[in-house]
Amino acid sequence: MKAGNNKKKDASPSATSSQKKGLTNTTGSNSSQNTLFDESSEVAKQFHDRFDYLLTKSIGSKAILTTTSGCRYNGILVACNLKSTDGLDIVLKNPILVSSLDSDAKTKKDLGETLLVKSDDVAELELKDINLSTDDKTGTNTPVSAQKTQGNTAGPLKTTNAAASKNEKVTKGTNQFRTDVDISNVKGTKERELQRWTPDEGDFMASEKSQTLEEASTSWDQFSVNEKKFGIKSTYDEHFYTTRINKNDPNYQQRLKEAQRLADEIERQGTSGNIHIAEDRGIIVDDSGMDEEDLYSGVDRRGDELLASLKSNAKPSIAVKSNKYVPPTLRNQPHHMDPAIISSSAMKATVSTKGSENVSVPVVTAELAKKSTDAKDAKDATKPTKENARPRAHLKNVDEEVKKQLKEIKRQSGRSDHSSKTRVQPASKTSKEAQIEELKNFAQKFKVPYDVPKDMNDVLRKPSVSLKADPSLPPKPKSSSTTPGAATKNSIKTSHTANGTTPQNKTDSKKFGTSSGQTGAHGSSNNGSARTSTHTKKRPTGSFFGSKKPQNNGSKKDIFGKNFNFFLKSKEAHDEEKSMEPFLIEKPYFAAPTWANTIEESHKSFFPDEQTIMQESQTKLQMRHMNAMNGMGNVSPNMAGNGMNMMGFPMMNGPNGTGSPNPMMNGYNASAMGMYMPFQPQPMFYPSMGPMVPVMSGKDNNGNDNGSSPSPQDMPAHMTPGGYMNVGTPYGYPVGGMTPFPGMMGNNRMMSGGGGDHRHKGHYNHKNNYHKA
Amino acid sequence: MAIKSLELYLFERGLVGTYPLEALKNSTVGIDVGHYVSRLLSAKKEQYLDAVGGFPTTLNLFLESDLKVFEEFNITPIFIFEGSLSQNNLINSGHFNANGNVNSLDSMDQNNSGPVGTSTNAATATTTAGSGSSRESGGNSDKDIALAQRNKAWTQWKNMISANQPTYIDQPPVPHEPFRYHTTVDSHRYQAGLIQYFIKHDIHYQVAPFAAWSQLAYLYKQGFIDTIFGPTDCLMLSEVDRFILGMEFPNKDFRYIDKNRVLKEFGISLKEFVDISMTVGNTLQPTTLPPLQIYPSNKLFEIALEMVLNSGTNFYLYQLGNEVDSTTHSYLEQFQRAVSHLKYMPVLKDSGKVELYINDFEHINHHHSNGKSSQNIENDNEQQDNKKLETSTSLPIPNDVHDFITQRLPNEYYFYKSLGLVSGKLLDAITTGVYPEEAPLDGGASNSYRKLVTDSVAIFKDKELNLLTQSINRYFQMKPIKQVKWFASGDSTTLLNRTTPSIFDKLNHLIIKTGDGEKKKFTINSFIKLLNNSSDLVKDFISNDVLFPNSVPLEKKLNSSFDLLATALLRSLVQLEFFQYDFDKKILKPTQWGDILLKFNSLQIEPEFQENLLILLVFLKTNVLTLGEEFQPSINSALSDHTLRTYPQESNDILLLTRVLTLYQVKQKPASYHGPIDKKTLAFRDHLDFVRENMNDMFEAILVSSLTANEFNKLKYDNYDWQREIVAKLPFKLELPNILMAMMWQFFLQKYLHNGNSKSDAMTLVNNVFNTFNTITKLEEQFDTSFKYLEQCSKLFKEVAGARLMKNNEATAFENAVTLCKNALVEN
Repeated sequence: MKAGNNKKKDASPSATSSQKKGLTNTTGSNSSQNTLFDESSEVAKQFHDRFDYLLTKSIGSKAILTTTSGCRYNGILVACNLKSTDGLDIVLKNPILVSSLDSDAKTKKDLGETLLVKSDDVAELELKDINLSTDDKTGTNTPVSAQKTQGNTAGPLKTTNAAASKNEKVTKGTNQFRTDVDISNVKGTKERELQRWTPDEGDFMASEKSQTLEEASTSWDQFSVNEKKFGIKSTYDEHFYTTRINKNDPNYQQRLKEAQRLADEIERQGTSGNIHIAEDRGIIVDDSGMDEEDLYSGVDRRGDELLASLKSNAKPSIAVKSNKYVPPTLRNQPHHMDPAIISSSAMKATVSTKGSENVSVPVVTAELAKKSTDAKDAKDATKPTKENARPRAHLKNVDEEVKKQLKEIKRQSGRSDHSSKTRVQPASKTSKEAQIEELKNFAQKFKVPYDVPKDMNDVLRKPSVSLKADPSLPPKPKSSSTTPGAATKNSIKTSHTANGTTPQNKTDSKKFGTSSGQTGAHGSSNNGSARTSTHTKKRPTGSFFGSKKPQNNGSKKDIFGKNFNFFLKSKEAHDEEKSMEPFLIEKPYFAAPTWANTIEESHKSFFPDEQTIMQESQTKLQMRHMNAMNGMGNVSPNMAGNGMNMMGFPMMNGPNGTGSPNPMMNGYNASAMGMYMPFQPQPMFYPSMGPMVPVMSGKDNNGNDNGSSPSPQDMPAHMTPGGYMNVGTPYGYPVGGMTPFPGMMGNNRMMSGGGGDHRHKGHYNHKNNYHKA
Repeated sequence: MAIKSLELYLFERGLVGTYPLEALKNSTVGIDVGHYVSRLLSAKKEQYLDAVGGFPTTLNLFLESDLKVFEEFNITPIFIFEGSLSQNNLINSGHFNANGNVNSLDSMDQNNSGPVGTSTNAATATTTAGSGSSRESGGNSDKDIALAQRNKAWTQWKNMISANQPTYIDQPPVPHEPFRYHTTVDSHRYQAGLIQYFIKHDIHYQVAPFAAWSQLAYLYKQGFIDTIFGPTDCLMLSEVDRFILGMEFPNKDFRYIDKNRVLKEFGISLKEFVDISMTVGNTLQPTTLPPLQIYPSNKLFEIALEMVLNSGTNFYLYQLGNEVDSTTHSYLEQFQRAVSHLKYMPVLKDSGKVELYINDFEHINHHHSNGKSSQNIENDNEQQDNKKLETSTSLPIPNDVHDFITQRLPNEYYFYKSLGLVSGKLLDAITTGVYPEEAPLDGGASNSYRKLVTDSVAIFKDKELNLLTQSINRYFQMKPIKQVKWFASGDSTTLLNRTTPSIFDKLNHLIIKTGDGEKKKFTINSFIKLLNNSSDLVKDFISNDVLFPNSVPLEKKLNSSFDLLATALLRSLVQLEFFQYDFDKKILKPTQWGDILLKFNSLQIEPEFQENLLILLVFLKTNVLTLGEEFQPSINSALSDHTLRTYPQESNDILLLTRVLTLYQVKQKPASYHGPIDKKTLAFRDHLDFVRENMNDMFEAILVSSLTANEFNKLKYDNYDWQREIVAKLPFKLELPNILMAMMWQFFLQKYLHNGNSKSDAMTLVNNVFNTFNTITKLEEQFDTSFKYLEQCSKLFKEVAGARLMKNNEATAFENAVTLCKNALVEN
């Protein structure tokens, strides 16, 4: 150790020769030299202080003193004169002569109990095993040398290496504020094996072996001891502090039982996985792998895991879940936005909680919810079948599928129950059956109020894959489906029929990706066999591209190699046209800095003027409102709906349709204003969309082609007279000569006498406003 | 950047569909690289990239696994890089003022743009749909935000360093503030690196002349690709009905958007959709325009849509109506430019020419709305019909396309750009008239960096522009081009692109033509060898005849990539004064610097280090900062105060070492870096990278001038050959290494000094601090090889100092420093 140390000391560049009287203190790897730097007195003082500190700390430790005569004494340092100016007077206790240059016997003899060496005679003082830390708890005798093995830490002792200046860090490192990083980087002083204290044989304490209250064989009565020892008589009565129990009460036994029962119940509830509670109750828990944060202080967020796992659609692990704590608010909460699931799982929750098996509820709910999505698919698939009175066989097919899936649900739920708690089973089973019954009923009663497109047949014949709303998505208004052709959008989505343009919901992917437990590619006809039993739906590959499937792209490389190559293509073009002339690559010089144009006009001239745009946007708006009203007014699904682009937005017609004439007016005016005035945010412009969307459902499903042309001329052709009137007049288009259609007016409650004029005026007002602006 | 806030909204509305990747089997997918990378390097990844520099290594990791998946399904990816910015984007990204804190030189009032949402970009809504990101920022563009974040992080770091001073001895503190947050990684950080990767892996790529997705639109229409993987901007394309928004490789499925379905669900026409998109902001028009600026950035689209639906708002009309207000005057123009750009998108056509691709979104709408059938099946047929109609209708092209795009360059230039042969910054300078010098990663506060920027005009820029403008339209030769610096944007420097005779005329007798160029691989090493083998440089490399006239037969021209590149390098070195050359006097001899370069091989400098050391030589030659000189104003060292005070000599040594080590790339596994950082080292790296970029520009300019002059048989190569033979071999192309190795040595030595000179302790520290268990497999080996590199540098510096091109004491100091390393590496 020392040899290496010395070597390093030499290598250390700061080991200058200007030592204070050549005093060397060697403590393990710690070689500290009181070095006189060419520094300010401030710094010098610091070094002195450190040196003093070192000596103070060394008192009582072993020291080897070398005198100028060459004698080395081993002893315990008991005192030193810090004030001595030209060195250090030292007192050693129990000195032993280690070696001496001039074998002077006299010196040996002279050694008494203490040895005092004047500073003049001190050549070197070597100190051993000094604990420089200010903390007494670390143990004075911790071998400093052990620090050396501690690696790359920046611990306080560690830093005393090599240089005198390191002493500074000894003090700093321990006294000053240290960050977590610093602390955690200290790999710690080496812990020694803790040993239980046992009294020595014959120790006076041995008679009272068991010191803790629990262990004590004799009961400890502080009152009697107090009285005996100090003559204090206690006035303590426990009933000062608690309610007196009337043990004579006739119902006492009964109450005692009740209390016992409650206590049992509470304790039987288990600790919900809360280690802390378990520990309080004396249950031995395996808390290895948990830190104190987990054990005592961290907020238990495991309830969120369920939510999280549902969000990611990971299959909830039943075994794990069984003892998970689920916050009460989450217990009944379905993690699905699908109404069917919500209703079913909510019901389930109410039924099953009666059985006080709150632990298993979330599990079952989750499991069931998952399964019920399958059921729901089946149910969805049934809808159009019923409506269209398809062949019975077909229906049967679907029914069978439903049954199959219900069986699956039973199986699954049974399993999950089993794995969680067996005593729960009956309750949940009944609830499940009730639920299944409910689903069955629903499926049978449900009718789809519109035609089912032909291409749905294929879909419906095949068992559908499960649809599960992705909880990570905001509620998706199902009924807002605007695919007129695909009225049963859900079914389509579910089954991935994919006729090339079938809209697909994000949710599907989630399910495909994970919940089915199969991450491989789905939807191709050739790997259908790899699927779980419920997912047998086949889907043509490449449907993303519609009719034109991408071909094998072996030739692509050539295409990209030759095409886009300015030189090769120029040559090619040249060869085709005038192969007689020699080919010259077009000189870049000839390229103008402008782009080739076909007309001498600015791009700005292509923008329509204000009038045109205004008119256009008015027309648009009008169309929209008409469509919206159309959709509302026409309950019949066969009524001309509005196709694609011109689909009215539900927001407007929602409030207006149900409101009184006045709100309607305001609505129109306000919106018209907004068109021309500098925008002023008004809350009424932005009702939340979600709830309103379902209103539109009927309309969207109309298969009829309504052209949705923006030109006003086209409108009448597609509009019912009522619709035309209602919308047309407010904007002052064809007002005159039109007879209001009384029926429509009544229905919509929106035309009042003179309303047309009023609106007409309003229209121009807006314009005026606009011009002013 | 995509249409702001739209992606999230599409997810909310459930308008993003999913297909398994299987559905793409055998297809060719065109990928917008910017969009793709923004998804890979999302907010949480590579947050400290800007603090260490270099290539974002995680990119390779993702790319590799993604390419594997593509291969599995026989999908051919075509990667399209973003090209030049259009006028709107140039303004928005601070091109005209180099992102300095001053008003735009243009009349544009860009500081009024209010909150900018990049939520769609940054949030990667595929995974975080529903949660959304609502970042409010006062900044204008992505770039502004990135810069602000970077500044913030540096400030935090500085504070942390001073706060840690009392306790920091040899355990370097780690910064907590990310250096990049919710912004995309600047494409120039990865473009060259990715191109090299693609070439190496035989993946086809193109650099689009302008917006990548408009190039994709063209490729899609022409059937070169089967589908587009791009940003939401693709919704504005009339002829793209559905495109891929995101790929979820782990799940093996992808997200797509069906345009018609979206429009249907929104209840608007494409024209209205474009109207909204232009107002909320998109790639072509990055600013959020009034009246939407007051709304939360993550709701913009939703709000705008409601305004349209409820009140028939036409946003163009709104801009028109507010035109009189002089402060917002520009919004109208911005709007118009963007709409026009959308209609006329310059794309690289298969003819190799850049022409306008007409995206007639206004008319397709009529077709759709007139005869739209609601049946999905019929859609397909109908759209095909529409397409036919579409091709027949073509819009008139206005005469001021340059107003909303930029001025046009010769097709040949665009072709080089599409190959990645030219980086494009110089070309943009030619079209826009501005060469912006933006702040480097460290902020560029040092006087030396600023001097370097100023000096670069004379050393590089004037010559480069002369080379590039000489062969193109006279207009560009006359056009004033300014260098705009971020630190002095009021004080722009006009670049001198006219010299007589032109630089090319001066250089065109310098020709390296080897008989066996075909077999040789061009590297600096082989170049030096070639020159060393020549007994008479004048005789071998000065040709009496020039090669560019058409009368010269093809076989007399340069025919191999080696000859082409070596000629370009020799000419570059003449420009950089490594060689003295005079045709009339028949002089070609190396200067002192050139001598040193030619000694690279005899000094046994390994070929892999030669390129970077050449950069270092050029840097030393600029003489803005010597190797051991402190920055002015000084930058905090990452070494602890204790170290600096106790070991002043060693600290100096470490400074020298770290600076030289910025040119050494540690072999690391792809991983997001998070660990200690060192601004002082980074600042030096920025100096070197600036020189590197300029050398690259210089080399490219000379190469392009040579190519355009027809000195090379350009018909010889197809695209793949161009890429493999030329682009892949271009020197100075890749960004310099990150500063990891420099920092590892720095903290290794610091620990070594403090810890009783124990190598193992110090190595453990490096292991822990840099988490090298995960990133660097053979740490000690890396130390050993980098040490060899240092030794070679030491030899080099001795040589340089011997030629009095560097202070003698610095060379000696470096030698000492290397000795320190040597001692430290030997276990004791």
